[in-house]
Amino acid sequence: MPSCKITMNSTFEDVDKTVEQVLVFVNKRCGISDHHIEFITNFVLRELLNNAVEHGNGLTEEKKVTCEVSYVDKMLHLDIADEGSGFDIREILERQSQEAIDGTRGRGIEMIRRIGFVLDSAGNHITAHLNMDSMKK
Amino acid sequence: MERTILENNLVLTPESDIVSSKVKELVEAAKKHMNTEEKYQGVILNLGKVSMIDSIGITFVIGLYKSASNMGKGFKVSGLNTDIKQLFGIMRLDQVFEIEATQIV
Repeated sequence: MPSCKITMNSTFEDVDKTVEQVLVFVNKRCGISDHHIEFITNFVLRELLNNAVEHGNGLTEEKKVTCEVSYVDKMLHLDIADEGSGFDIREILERQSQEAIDGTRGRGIEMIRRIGFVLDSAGNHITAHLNMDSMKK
Repeated sequence: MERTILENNLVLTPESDIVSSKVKELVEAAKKHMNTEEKYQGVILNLGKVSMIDSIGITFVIGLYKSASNMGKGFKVSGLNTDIKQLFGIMRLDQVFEIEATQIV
């Protein structure tokens, strides 16, 4: 089972570096070379990491964000943890799905769902799962 | 960010991806270019050199649209790659402002 774990500081520059490393891992170790899947994984990972950096860790550089990625039975799993107090994913999804797109921040979680990832959260962990078979339909 | 005037439109062309680490400098550059004394009727955001955008970047694009509207100017986005165009479609941004796939050279 290919997996990797990256720990980063809470900066947007570190988000760029982590995304780059994860995409290399997904391509080389998981054997996923589809351009569209690479794009949506890039988008989703950035969304989760940006949220962890900004909302979870309050842009405090020293606070850590951990990113674990694994690929099992054609399912890609992205697990992100920060040092914040955690949140309820169902509450966010319910709120965001009812909001109009008017330029305010914070609708990324709803976007992730619309793209095709399934989200779970527990405390300060959020996990996004993508079923590769569902992307081929 | 490159800027040119083309047929009475101010064309803004970001030269990097529009992601969280770049948005601050893109906002500053866009403000400077849009507040030029040169006359223009509309703003075209040319994404021909952009391969990735995140939600903070999308907020930047929506902010440009709002700024242009407040100045009484038109706004459209051009040169999007297929993935970004699809993303904008999912967000229904194609119902907010004009989106044109053609790239401005």
